[in-house]
Amino acid sequence: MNLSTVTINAEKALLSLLITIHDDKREGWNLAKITTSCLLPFSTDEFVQKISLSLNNAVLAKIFFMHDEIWVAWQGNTKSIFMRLQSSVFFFFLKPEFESFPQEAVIYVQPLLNMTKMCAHLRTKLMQKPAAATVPAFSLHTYEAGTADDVLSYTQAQAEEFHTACQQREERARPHILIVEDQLFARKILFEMLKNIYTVDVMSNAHDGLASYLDKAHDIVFLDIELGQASGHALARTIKQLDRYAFVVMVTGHASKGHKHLADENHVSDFIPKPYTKDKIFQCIAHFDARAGRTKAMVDSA
Amino acid sequence: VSEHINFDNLREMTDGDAQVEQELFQVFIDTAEECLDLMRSSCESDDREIWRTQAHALKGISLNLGAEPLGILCHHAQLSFNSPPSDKVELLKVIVAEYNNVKAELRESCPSDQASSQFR
Repeated sequence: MNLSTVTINAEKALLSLLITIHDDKREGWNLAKITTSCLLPFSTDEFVQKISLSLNNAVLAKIFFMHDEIWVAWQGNTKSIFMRLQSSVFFFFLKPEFESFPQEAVIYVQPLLNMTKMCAHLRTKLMQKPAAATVPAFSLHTYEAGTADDVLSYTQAQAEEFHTACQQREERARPHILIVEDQLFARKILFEMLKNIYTVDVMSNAHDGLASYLDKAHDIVFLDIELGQASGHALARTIKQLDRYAFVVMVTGHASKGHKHLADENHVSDFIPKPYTKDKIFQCIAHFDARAGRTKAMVDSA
Repeated sequence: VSEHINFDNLREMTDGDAQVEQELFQVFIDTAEECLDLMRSSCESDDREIWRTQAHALKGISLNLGAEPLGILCHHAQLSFNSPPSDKVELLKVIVAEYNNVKAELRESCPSDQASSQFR
């Protein structure tokens, strides 16, 4: 695939391409308009790098950077390439406040059918062009992460059992870990990574996770957010209300600022977006060890 | 270098244990196909919450596997839960095409015929 970018006089360059498409009646060209006010700050190099994979199946592609819009023109499969392009822009650059209506950020335009409108639009932009390009400022954001009041219930007997289980914590040479994750694939990866070093329990929903925590008073809890009926936030909140020193780590594909905000409100110890690395998980455990006063030498000798 | 899956992170997490990897691949395939089936049926019933949760689930396991292009498409699907069913059907076709690329690479990465047969 031949990919080129235009950053200087992009309006003129796109206008010139449109006129060529129109005069030669060239079929197979497609356009996408990306509104930069919907995007997080970026550099042109970063933008090209992140979206180039989505244009891999295009015969030819050109990206035109204007001060408030980016236009992508390509020749090739229309639907598939446009959807991949949209996906990459949403994944890497979309501002959180546009997540509920992302389609506005990337719009498909068929050049031959919209030639007059397009040319008028570009000529207006040429006349109104500002002296210097401006990068849109980042602004925040709506919270979509659910209610902050959910707490899971447990019995008095369970609470008493928990306080008994807590007394065993100091005797443990290495932390006991609880994983609460509804996806088997994600559970298994984390379990396989930790099982040879730590005592690990695995649960697939928030209620079983709470029951296990009350029974065994784990030292570290790795929690997914989306767990079916009761969320990971509700479980984190319940655990922290019961045990303010609990070491709870959210491990989640919901990395939006709304979820991070809720996690912070629950005073969790860490927030790890998926996909994570092995290093990140072990750094987190090392952080717990440091807080618990364990040195690496103590852990290694245990 | 594959454009569909980057195994580096997964291999680091499994310490290169081939058996664990095969088990994970099988879990991935089973879960992904269940998610895709549910997404397909949610288009027919226009059940937006099922579409959203299944797209989110498939995004999570794809990114964990290292199948970033598939994860990126699923992120788009997750955000597009309010789109009309006809748009979702089109997006699902692109997701299924990318999933088939991922599945073919998982099949190729199996060291033995026996393990490979699990993915057919």
